[in-house]
Amino acid sequence: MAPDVDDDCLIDQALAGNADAFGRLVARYQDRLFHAMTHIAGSAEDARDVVQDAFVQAFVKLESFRRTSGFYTWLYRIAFNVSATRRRRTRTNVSIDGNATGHALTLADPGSAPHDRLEQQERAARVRAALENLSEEFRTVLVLREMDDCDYETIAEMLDLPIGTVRSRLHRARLQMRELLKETMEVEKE
Amino acid sequence: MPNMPDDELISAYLDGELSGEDLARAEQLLATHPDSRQMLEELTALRASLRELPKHELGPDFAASVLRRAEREMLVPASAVAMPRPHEEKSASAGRPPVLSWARWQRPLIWSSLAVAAALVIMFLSPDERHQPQVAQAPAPAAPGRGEAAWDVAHDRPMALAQQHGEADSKSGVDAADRYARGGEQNPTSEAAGADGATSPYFALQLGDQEQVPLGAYLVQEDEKQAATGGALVVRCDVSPQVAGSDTFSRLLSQQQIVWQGAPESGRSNEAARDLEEKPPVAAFKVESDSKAAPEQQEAVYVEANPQQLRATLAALATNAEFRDVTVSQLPPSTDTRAWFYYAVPAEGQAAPAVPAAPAAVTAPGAAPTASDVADKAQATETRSKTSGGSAMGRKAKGDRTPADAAAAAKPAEGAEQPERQLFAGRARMLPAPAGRAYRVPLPAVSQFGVLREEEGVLTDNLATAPSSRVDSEQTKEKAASKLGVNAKQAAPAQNAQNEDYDRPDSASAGKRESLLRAQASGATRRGGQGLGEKLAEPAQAQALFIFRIVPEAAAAAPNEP
Repeated sequence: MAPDVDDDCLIDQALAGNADAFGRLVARYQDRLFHAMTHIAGSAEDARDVVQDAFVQAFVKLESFRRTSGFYTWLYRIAFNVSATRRRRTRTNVSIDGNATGHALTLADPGSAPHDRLEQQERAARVRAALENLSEEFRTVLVLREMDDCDYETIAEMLDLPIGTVRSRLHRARLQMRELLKETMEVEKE
Repeated sequence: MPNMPDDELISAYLDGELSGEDLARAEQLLATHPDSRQMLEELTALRASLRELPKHELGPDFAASVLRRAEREMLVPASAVAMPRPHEEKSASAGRPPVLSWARWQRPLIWSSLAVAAALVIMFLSPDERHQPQVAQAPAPAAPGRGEAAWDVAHDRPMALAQQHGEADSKSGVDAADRYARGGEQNPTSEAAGADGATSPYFALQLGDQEQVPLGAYLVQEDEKQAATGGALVVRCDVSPQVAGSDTFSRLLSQQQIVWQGAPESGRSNEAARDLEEKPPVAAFKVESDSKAAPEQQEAVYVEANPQQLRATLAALATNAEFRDVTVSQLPPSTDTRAWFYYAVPAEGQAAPAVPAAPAAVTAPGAAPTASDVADKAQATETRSKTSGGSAMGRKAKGDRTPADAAAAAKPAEGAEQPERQLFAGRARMLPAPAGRAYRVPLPAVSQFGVLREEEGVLTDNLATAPSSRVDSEQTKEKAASKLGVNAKQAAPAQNAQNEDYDRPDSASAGKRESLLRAQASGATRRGGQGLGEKLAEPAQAQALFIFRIVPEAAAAAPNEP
């Protein structure tokens, strides 16, 4: 993929009938969206479906993309809606467990020693558990900021919220997450 | 950013979202307040822990799978592709080769999803074309065979009606009907109607408050809803005369096992009539004549299908460049578990609410049927038209007419002079929403259609709305009972329910077509066993109204780009 081809150019090409161009957009954002959706949708399996549906809908609706926001922002909104719809439909308990679904997991530091990796995995499990215990609105904004590295403006656009709400919600999410992690660590110590 | 709490200020500081006074304030807090520094450290650690979480990857083949599904999404029913799990993907696409060219992308992809119970397709025909169906349904006493021929054409090539041009009988009949629809000329003669053939009122759907949205947008909305919503749709689009003269739309329907029928089923029920009077429809569209409009070609086709068929039809329509400016309006979905589609057709000579006397243009000379006669004779005419035209749904559905009866009714005999146009006259109709049927609708006569509540699930499929139309309720009940019996039989595997659709003339061509359609029907698993009782138990059927308008080539030069 030529790194210098920006989203707009690929979108133009896709609208002109070049399916490969859209494929490149998919390849560009699939993992980022998948990673975010894994924590939004609740499981890697659901996240994969959500991401696929989102890309398909984006493909179908590409004509309607006005480019007033970035493609990923627009895509994320689609994915978020798809995820919300799926959750409403299924209402199933999910577990964030990439290994169970066969999706590749990339450790943040794969080169560390076995003992360190074990600690890392345990720490990741605690963080995931705390994240799962957050309310959906807190988890969403936290994932977008901390994992997807979205700025407030982008988050506000994605979630259709005022920036002030994003800021306060994010802060409250962090405080709650911090408390949940503390509780988890205290339970483990006991 | 007034009065931001200190903690929140630190949080925003961590995110680099502060500037000016807020930034200065945050820096001062951090410099002077250990608690703020502690907060910042904890939030930084939290960020690190979150970013250490393993990342998930989808693999290099994911994009290809997305493109495959997106392509299929455009071509197959929503339910088949809406949310396929990865392991379902392969089977969902099996045996369904994508036919959409990516080049189609060059035009707007217009989508919608239908989760309603029957489809009404209205196509606008040219002034000299649009009448063909009605005329075909109304073989004039002097030339009964012509009507049958027209039916065959209509069934085989629903949009190829141009070849019917020049048939004086047809033209006169339609023109007469047009004048009636415009305002009330009574009992025109055939000759007078023909002389007025240059007039071509444009029958526009008055959609009221219903918003017309691009088909694509509608489909996407429905995709996102992921659920059948009920109601009825109106889908409008333009086609070129070349497309209108081809079997493009017919093929589109047949690909979804939607077969062409004769006239829409029309029955009578006092109970249903009362229901319609006492409980107004949930929503309705009106079709009104607008003689000031350009003489655009127009045609009306009514389709009943299940949601999957309908969605696939729309998807194919949306991705076919020959259909332009596709918009959708949706009737509000009914909250009732049993919402029935109906349409009402005004009597020719619209001004009179009662069923008027049959116009001489399409009625046997001297015929002046009473209101009750109108209903009964319309029934006979309907049967005749279906028999000659190859649609058996109405006949078998009513279950009380044998081929011999139908043949007798088809004769322009005394008492059978009710014009075909009266088939729908002054009636509303409730349909149990069978799947996969397309009907030609006498567009100038359609007054409205919509969703009618059927709260009690009474076995009433059709109704007469004209106050003066008296219908024997006992007869209706018998017919209903007979219908149940017929359908019960048809539910048996050896006799597909759709067989009722294929009673066609005994001509070789009709038989061949019938065999083909039966084969198609037998291959469609979703169509098995559709007895009326089952239909009553199926609240989530689909309804829609598609509107096609034939636009001259010059006007069609600019492609549709919403």
